[in-house]
Amino acid sequence: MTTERRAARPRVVVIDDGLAYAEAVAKHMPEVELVRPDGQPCLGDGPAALDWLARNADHADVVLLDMQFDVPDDRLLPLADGASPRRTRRFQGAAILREVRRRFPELPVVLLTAVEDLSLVDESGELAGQSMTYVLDGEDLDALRIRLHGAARDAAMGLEEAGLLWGRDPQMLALRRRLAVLARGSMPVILEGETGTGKSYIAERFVHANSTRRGPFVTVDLATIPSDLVPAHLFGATRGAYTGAIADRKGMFELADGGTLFIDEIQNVPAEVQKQLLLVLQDRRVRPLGGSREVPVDVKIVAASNTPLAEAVAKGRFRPDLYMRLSPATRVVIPPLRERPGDLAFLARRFVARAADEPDTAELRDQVALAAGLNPGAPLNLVVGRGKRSDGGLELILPQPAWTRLARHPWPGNVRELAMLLHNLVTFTLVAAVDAIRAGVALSSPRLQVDPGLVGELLAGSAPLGGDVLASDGSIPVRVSPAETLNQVANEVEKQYLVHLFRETEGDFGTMADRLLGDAARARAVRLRFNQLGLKVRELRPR
Amino acid sequence: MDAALREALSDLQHDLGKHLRLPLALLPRDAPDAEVREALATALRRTKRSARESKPARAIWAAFVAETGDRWPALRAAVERALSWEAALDGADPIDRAAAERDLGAVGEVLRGLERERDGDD
Repeated sequence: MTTERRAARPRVVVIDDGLAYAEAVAKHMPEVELVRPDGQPCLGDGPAALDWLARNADHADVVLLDMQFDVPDDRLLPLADGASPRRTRRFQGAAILREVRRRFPELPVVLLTAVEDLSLVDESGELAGQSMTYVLDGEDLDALRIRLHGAARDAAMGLEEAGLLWGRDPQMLALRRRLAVLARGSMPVILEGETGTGKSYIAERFVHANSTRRGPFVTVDLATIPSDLVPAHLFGATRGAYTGAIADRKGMFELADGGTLFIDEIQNVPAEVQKQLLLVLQDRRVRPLGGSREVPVDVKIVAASNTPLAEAVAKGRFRPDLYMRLSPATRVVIPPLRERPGDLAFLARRFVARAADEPDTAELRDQVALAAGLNPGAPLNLVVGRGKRSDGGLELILPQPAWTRLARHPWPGNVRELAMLLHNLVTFTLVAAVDAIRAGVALSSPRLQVDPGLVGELLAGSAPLGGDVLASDGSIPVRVSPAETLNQVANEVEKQYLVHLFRETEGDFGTMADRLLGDAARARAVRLRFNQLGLKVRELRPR
Repeated sequence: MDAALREALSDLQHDLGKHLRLPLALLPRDAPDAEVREALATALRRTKRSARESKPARAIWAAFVAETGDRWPALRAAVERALSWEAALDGADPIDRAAAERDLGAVGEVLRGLERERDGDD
């Protein structure tokens, strides 16, 4: 597990040529501690700040940084080639931020400036979009307190934002930076990533939330819609346009007008709809099915695919002109969990804490907390083996071998699979503790030991998709030809596994979806995948 | 608008637009009158403060007018209305914080409007 850095009260160091912010922190924010560098209320310029941080970065949890510095020329950090001294002073905070980011990437910085001001010297959004950088627009005590609290919490827990768990992996941090820029304006964004990587979460909670668009966020999952209904679903239909169309119906484009339309699994758009979609993207107008008039729409498209769209283009399944209109330059690939092993501990801690807060488990947790002499609502903290004890609350002790097993698991269902596994782990452990309490067992400590075999049992469900028990007793023989490409091999393995699962579940797609995707309601997606792989259900059913 | 004028406006946005508003904005909502009075005094009389020096809003405004001329009547009116709160500091009546915040904040609003006009010139 990574070490958490958290002081009792977050320590805030102010970089400012004036005293207003330092005084406000000292006088009106008892929940934080103002760091007094060398006895001064703040660090007065860039060189002084960098010098002090080089010696004392561990003594601050958050930096509060002003934008304008009226200091002598020799105390200014360079802003950009050709910038006048006056402009360099005006935007000195950006120059200081750039250096702090370079030298202390994990130190959170709250930059006090209007976003529009920052954009004058940060056109690409490079600075604003960096992890651990927070821009506070508008000076207000409560806003400042909230932002400082959030920054300190992120530094202690890892990067978490609006419920999104970014983690600290450089791939995720780079992705966040890129999306912070792509979220602006109405240009489409392509999100690629395996199932469970959080494409829809990112689309809604980051891209849409940062787009400044005032309209709604609307999701359409094309895997769940029969292909003949896709046009009506996307573009709307007039009464009588097709059998069963008993009234005019708005399509998803119209419903998302002024906002964001998230098209999940866009690689599954039927060929005939791709042309219509292209026209909508070009003209920004939709014509409902059966209708004669076009309706203007202002929609930002976020298109998600769990396979590379370029591959679908190369295979002739996706129109190249539509791909170009979606703008491959805006393509962002969310890495699978197995490629960001450094985030596993952070994510596991957060998912355990979240699982314990959910209504069905919170009641169990509170019963256990009371029995252990704690208050209801006490947090549940994950501790691995003999790892560092948490500061308070209940502890979920995961044996080291179980953690090692989690760390080695390839997580074919990615972050979603991890979250569900830990939810189950928490539930099983709390139920066992509550049963014991009801049977008269008195708890002597707030430490709850996870059953060592439980992790293995919970992993078994997804392991055949590539997990660590593929070669164990329940192994499935898979045959592939050495002449096949890697993609063909992957498809072949997937096909053979799906056939195996189909037979094991007696053709129950709900159970299959539950096993494969962790969601029994997504049976249609599994069925669609069957079709894509050329598997015929009729041929597989027992005669 | 020439570059020097733009930079002077930009500086004034920081010096008056921001720092007239800041002391009151950084006070808790339930701050007693004594603290409101002190914050108002800071805003008007020690507007631009560092560890080394302190300048009142009136002097910052005078320096700006000396540099750029008295070009913007709306700005002058907003600044004069803000500076008129100095009289309240000398009186004994409780400070009407909401009204003071509105008048001091208006300087920044006018300056933002001028900046938008300036950007429109580009």
